[in-house]
Amino acid sequence: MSEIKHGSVAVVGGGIGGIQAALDLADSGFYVYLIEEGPAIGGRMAQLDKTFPTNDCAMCMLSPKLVEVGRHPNVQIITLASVESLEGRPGNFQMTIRQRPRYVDITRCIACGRCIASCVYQDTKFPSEFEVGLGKRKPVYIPFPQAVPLAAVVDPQTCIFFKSGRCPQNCLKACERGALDFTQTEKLFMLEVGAVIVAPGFDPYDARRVGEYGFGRYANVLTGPQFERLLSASGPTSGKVLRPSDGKAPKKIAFIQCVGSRDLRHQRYCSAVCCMYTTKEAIVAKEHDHQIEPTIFYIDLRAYGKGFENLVKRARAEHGVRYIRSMVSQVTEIPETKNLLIRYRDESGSLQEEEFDLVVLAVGMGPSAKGQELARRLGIELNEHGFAKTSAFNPVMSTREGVFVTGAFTGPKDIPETVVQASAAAAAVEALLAPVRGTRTHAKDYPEELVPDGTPRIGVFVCHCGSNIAGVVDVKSVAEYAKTLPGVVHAENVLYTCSQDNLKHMKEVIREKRLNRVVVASCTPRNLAALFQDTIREAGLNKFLFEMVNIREQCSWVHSDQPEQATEKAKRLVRMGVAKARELKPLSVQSVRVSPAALVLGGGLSGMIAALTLGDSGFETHLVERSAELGSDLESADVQGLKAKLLDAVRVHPKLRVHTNTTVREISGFVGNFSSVLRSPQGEERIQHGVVIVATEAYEHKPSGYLYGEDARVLTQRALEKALTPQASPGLFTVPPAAARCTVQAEPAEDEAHAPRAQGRGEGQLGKTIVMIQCVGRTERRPYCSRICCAEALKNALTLLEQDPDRQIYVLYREMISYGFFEDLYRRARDGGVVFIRYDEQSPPVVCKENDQLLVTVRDAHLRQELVIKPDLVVLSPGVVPDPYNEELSRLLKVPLDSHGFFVEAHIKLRPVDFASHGIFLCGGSHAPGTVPELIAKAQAAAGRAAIVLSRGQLEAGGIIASVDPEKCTACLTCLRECPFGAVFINEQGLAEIEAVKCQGCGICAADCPAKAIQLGQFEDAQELAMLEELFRPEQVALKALTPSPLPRRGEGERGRG
Amino acid sequence: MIVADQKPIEEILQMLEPYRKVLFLGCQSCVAVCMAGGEKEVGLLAAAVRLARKQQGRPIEITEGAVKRQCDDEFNEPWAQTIQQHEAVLSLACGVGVNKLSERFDVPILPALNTRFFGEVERQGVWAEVCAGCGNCILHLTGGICPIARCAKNLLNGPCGGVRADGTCEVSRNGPRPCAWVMIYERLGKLSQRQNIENIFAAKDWSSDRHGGPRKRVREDMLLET
Repeated sequence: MSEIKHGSVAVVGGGIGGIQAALDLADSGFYVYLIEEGPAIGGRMAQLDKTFPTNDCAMCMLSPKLVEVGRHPNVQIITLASVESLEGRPGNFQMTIRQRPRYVDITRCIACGRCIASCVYQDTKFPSEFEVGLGKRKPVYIPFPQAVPLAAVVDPQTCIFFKSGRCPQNCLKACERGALDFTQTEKLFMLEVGAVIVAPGFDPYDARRVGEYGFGRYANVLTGPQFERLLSASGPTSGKVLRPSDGKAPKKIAFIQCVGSRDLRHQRYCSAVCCMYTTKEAIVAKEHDHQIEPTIFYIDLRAYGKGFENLVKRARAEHGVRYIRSMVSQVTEIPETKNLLIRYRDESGSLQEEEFDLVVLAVGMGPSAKGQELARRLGIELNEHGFAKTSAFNPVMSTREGVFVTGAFTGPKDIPETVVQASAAAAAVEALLAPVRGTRTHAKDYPEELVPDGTPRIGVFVCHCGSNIAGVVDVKSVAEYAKTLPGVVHAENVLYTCSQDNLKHMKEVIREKRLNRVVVASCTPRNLAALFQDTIREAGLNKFLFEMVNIREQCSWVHSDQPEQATEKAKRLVRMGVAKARELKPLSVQSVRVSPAALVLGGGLSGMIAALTLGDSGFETHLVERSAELGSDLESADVQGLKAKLLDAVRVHPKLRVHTNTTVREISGFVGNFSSVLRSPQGEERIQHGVVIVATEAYEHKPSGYLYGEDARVLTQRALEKALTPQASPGLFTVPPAAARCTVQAEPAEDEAHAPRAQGRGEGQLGKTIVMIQCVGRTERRPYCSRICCAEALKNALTLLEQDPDRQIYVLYREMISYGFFEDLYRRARDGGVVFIRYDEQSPPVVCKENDQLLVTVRDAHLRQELVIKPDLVVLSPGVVPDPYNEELSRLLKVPLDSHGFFVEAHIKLRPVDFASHGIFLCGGSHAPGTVPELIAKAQAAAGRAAIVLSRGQLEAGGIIASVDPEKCTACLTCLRECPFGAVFINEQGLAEIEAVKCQGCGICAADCPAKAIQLGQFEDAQELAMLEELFRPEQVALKALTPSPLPRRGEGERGRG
Repeated sequence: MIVADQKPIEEILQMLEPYRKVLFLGCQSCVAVCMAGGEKEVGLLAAAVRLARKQQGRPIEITEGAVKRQCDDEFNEPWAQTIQQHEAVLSLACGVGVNKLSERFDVPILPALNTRFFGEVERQGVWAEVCAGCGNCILHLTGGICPIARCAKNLLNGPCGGVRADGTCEVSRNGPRPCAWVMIYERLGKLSQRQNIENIFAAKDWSSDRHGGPRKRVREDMLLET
């Protein structure tokens, strides 16, 4: 343990995975260096327009994360940097970093864009990386409008000064802040870190290499990432779908799937996300322009994740997207029109030619070239596909101890899986570095808060922002005007309000003039409000006595050609801000102690992993299982070793308490302070804990029909898997004796009753001819894809062939869901002679018996003919269903279930293992079906997210939250029914009350309260109405003298208005 | 709880036609709970009326307020002076509140709501009539389901011939609704009280209902000396 020295972590790669890992670690007591190769963080997600399956705006989700990580006191972002080497051991690494010069001092740059405007290249000349070549940029540029750090960067490859040395360097003169610095040089420095998380992401496959589609030669052939930019409102065409060749709106768009993926000439594996991103792009294109007719050419439609099936259904039914199951052999350009001719064989087998206006290639995810170089420098191994090699049962562990890998660096995956892995990697680091938690982070001390004496004394700071505002708005007259407003005792102009000198000056003015409210009129509050709030807090003011007025983005920048009107508007905006400031009240933030223990519900694979991860991080954990046995979901042969290891680890772990045969009778409290009653045959026990992890699993559905249960030769994949289990060596299969209390004989499941007979036949007696039927019972009522069954079938088919290569195996399927590296299994099965027969959803196979001979009849969707197979064995893949116990848990915890009985996470993309209610997390098959490594990552992630709460000791509650006026509340229950966070309860007086810790300040209750009994702090009616009245007050109406009269008297609620 | 609807804005504007200075007074009890006349509705309605009158070129001065329960003088009393300073009061209470204010004040009290029925909250935003206040309760005999309120014909010995094969009533205001007597029959089955259905109810004495004129209740022991 003495080796564990550094409570700091290097996260390499600033995409969504790296950002999530950095935030999780920084929030749980570790200092993070976030190292990014490019000039800004954000990664690929920043370039997306929308995200599947909800079609939410990608940037709207990502941008708050960028801002959060950008201003986190325990995250240092190092851009334009790459790793040179990594020395040392886990807990004590030395990482050498090479940082390229930016030629811009980011502490001075205010992203005003004057350098860009002044650059000698008067046209925007060079292809923009962010716009994937569709847009242009200058040698000096801002990567994208929401970039963090938000600062210009000079590209020495294209800058004429660096190329020829002959340049008037207009940019230097144009910059009012002296931020440009061409003397910057490359820096080499060392970081001391305890662990490393590697998240360099992926490279989109280079479509040029798939020559037959003509990308790079034909103007109107684009890649999926490029099409994202065309759809984006901030993209090169402002969100208009236009053809590059002539700028005209295309009507017919063809999307071609598997470009570079599932292709022996390129990448053998499936890129896992393209089917869905294309479906999304087709829908969004149609939404942008109703004239568009999208057609998608595909091999298998892999809609295997939560909500994916539904999106495809909507694409077909509501948006008229045409899906054609066919691999396009060639795209040729028609020279006159630049239209594209696509040749393909349709589903009936005849050759077709069709003309399209635009072709979009669904390029797959290739391994990142920089990631491969990084792997070499870090000394970690890659797998056969060029992605990071991971341990089978620890999907974020690299081949070097203390170095963790995450996201698309470990294989193709979508955003939520990346986020899950990021949180899992953070959890693994936490467990490793638990002894040095909190040794490198710092908390800030603030002076005691002054009690405002009632009468507002407002200070107004009007920013020039160099000439950004002052160049258009007459800022002097705005400040003079502010002085005349009621309550204002100080108003001045400042060149840069955000500069360090001014922040110091601001604090002095607050003290000298005894200001008790501060208004800053400058830019958007998005980036700087927190800085100003922090400043007034340093001066002893409550941070909520602050109001920011945006006279840059919402005034000077958009009205640059109407300076007089802009000045009038600025005055009016300031008048509104001051009116609100007059009504501001200090809001208190209280600390709530956290019970540093966890409750994990469900003792399957996920529950055990989550509990062990939390235990390793040093937190006491109660692992509660309804049945007598832990790990009963781990049935197949290849996980028996893992199961034994886990049972052993759980048994001896000093921080874990296992409760089998136990249910939860009651849970009360809130994040940090839950209190639960556990019920077992031994009696009831009350426990205190800070978090809850729901880790219930999903189970193989019990099929009906297909002679299942009637003939022992018809069994499920799971039962087959058991039958295939070789006689186990004692070490692997026997459960350690001390764990016997958790391993009382499980109830025999019904399908097990059949398995022994199959098993009894011995390996050779499973038969020669075997039929596997996929998607059994996947109907209207259970329409979702269970994700894992195809891979399971492939794995079992290969085992059967290994045992006896003469076997004839048929797999009857609807879509082959061998996503990611499972594609290798699919190929091996085909090479091994497994016959794959696709059937249509409408005509499922039929199993019957004729003189004890099993008969399977299937209509082959390609041949359009009925085939009859005489198998010795029929294996069904009936899909998985969530634990029925979820319904009870859903009621107990007040957390939502979807219509199929799976739990619904807080946010499908960025909060995949959180519930909306704080302090409650989820993992396991009951969140969504998954493979063992996927479930492990989710369980680690949930544990990591939970550890953030537990590691804090104290939680802050209050601030901008809703509160109920008991005089007005009529206990109508509207708020109680509406609150998405379960924060409202009926108190002992029979009135509604809001739990401060649970309230997230969304304001729904305040808006809907029929008695107007609820107000949201900082957004009270009086405050908002005061702003509106100032906005609409005609100029000639004289300002009322300020009288310090706060709210109307209680029980009266009178508000006279003319 | 008393359930009410807000009158159409046109009707309210017509009522307010003669006045230039009006108090909009909500009630924070039943009608607040059924989202018809609480303080929030006062604010919304006042804003709408101000806009409409401004558009007509005849601006109106509105004072907004809400009292705990308009059916009690004591809650209304603090508003006495304000009420008298206005040409009229638009009451967002149920009819009881309007009557109460009218008894006390010599100012026109205008009803902003149509008072509908006693209701239960079926779910948020939906209220249903389940009791008619007939003054002579038989719910213990009908499995807790009232045939007076829930049968379109107030039948005591149902069902009638208007019940459809699927158990719904031929009278269908707001969409098909179950026959009250089918519901009673099923409910009695669950309670093992099916024998109740064989009871023949005698003709109902409606004198306890409002057909005997306005009703009044007196509790002698609680009367205060005056």
